[in-house]
Amino acid sequence: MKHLKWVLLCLSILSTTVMANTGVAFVHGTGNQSNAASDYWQWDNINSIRQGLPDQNNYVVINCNFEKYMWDAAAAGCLAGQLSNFISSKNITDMVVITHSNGGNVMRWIMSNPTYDSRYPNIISKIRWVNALAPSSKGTPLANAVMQGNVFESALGWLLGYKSDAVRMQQTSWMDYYNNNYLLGTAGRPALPKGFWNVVGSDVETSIFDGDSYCGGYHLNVGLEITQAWLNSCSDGFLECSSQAGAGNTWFYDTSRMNGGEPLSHNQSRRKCFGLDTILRNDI
Amino acid sequence: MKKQTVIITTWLLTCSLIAHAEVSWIKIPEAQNIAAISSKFPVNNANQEAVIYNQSLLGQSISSETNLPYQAESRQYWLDTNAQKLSSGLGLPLTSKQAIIRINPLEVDSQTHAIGANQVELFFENEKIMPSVFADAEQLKAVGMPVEDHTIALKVNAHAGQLMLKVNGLDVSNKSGNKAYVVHVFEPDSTEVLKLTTDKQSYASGTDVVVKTSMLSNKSSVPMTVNGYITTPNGEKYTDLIFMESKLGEYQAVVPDVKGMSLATGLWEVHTLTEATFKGNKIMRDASTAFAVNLATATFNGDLKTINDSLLIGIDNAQPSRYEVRGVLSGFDVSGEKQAIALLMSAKWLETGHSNIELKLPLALIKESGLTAPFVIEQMSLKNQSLMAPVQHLTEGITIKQLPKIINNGLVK
Repeated sequence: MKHLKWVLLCLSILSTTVMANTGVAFVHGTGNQSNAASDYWQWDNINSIRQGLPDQNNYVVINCNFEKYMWDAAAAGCLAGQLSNFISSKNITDMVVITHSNGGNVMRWIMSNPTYDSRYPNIISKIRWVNALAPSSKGTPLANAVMQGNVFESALGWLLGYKSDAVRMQQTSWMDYYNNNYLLGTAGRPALPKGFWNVVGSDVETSIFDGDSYCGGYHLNVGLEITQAWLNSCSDGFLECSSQAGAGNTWFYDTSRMNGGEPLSHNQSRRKCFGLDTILRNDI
Repeated sequence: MKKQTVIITTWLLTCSLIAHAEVSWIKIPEAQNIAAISSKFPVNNANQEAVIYNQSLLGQSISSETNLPYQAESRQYWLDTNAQKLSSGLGLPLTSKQAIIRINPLEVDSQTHAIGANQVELFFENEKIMPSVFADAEQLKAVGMPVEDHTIALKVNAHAGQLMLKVNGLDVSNKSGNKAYVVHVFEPDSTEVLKLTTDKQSYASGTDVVVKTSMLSNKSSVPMTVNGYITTPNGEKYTDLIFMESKLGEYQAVVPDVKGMSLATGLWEVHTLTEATFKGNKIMRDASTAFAVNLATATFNGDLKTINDSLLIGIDNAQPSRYEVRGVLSGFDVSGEKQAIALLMSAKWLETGHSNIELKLPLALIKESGLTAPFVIEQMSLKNQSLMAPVQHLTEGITIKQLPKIINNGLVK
């Protein structure tokens, strides 16, 4: 269905003899990024994906402060600025946005609130679709675990700044409110104005003897032995599958498309692992 | 000249009368009392440019709004403690065979050191036990858990009873003994669950917030001691909660007349701390959940005008801000079923006083839908975008018995 709509759109566009100028935007997750290309996505991943572009220079890697609430000027405001600059400087008419984790929430904010900022409608108009890798659409119990507690820990810690707004926002009760009142795309709500296609990570492989565990950087078992306690059996180590599939449409679960049927951990879904880059490249 | 003026005036009045006759409120909105807020609240969005945006909902099934609250569940609790108590030994009640214990200092400074695995001792029924997993802050952060620096976490295999946690090598001299720590205990397999909810997710300003909580052990209600409090969007404590048992096993607290605040800094939260005893075992559970309160800085004032394909929605405003009106436009199919056509959205900056926000009817989309009148605009909301706050929500919106005809440019639709 995803590609049928695109074929029809292309035919429609071609019929008017106007060729699309396609671009790709990479939108990171929680964190204050200044060099997301190197630190977050890694260049081998970006370079592989952008090979799918007719003009391989038509890409942008976003660097914003996603420690802030999604609506903040430093988050969605920054994202809108960088996407707008990308669209205008490269005359982009057709944009595929690839998000990871909380980046999906910031992108959904823009698409759900077009009147919030006069830049948003133009951005929305240029989006072909969003490929959301492990989006935290319904939050995560891990955010609940670190934010909740006595009034002193949670309030003081947050006020002192060592707990970020973004973590506070990704508590499950908070995301439930925002999904029901400010964001589109969840069950029963109006759909997002453009496609929002989820890639869901369903498991974490941590065998020290399995080379696949090392893709994207090997993370010692110990951390996952702790965090997995808060999560359902279907999770990528940070987000449950139900959160990743909570908004938009599910494109695929990891094991159904990855090389060797490999699962994608939360970190692996933003890296060149098991052929994910090839799938994203071919999707452009 | 006078005759021409009369004719023109009559024509204009006729046009306006036709427009008003066909578009009306299903129920004229009840204006709410409005007020400006303190200048201490930051303005999150000061964009001045008006934006009108319609999004097609053709073919979509849109549910009615329910305002259902979030149902929180907890198998965890937190304890305030200090270095002295950790050194002496801290009792942690458990109810199941596995527990995750997280320890972190409340404030981190240059003197703070992470607790090492060899500093931790665990005793269960006077027998020393070893954690099956020990993770430090970097290991937890590496897998995405956003913990504070110097946090440690242990995975412990035990069973129902009292676990004794002791941390050796902490500086307990003089004031250092008072250094605050938080201990967090999570029992993923426990059948002892604390449930917490509110009666709504969003409240009109000045209404009562009802909090409900219950403790279940193997799905049966357990009597408990409940304490709790409400925090404001910026994290400050608003009030303590006084719980009464409303029915067997369910406890309820009411916070009266909660006035809205800016939500640019977050949401309101309920926090509960509970203790119970069941079959001789002590159960401790804490839970939190979020809710919102409308901020009555403006109100629908009942004015409604049409100019061509525009609906001008009257707003009285007490707080200069950027406001948005949105609603779902629907029509009726041949079988009389209501179907969604479009999500109408419009925002602009409003100064104080009387004003209006313009919704645009998507005439082309309406034509494409094949749906017929009466059209309705429902699920109408007024939001303060500068303060990230809902202002007013209408259960009944606008009905359009006949689409306005565009006359001034000769195009009749």
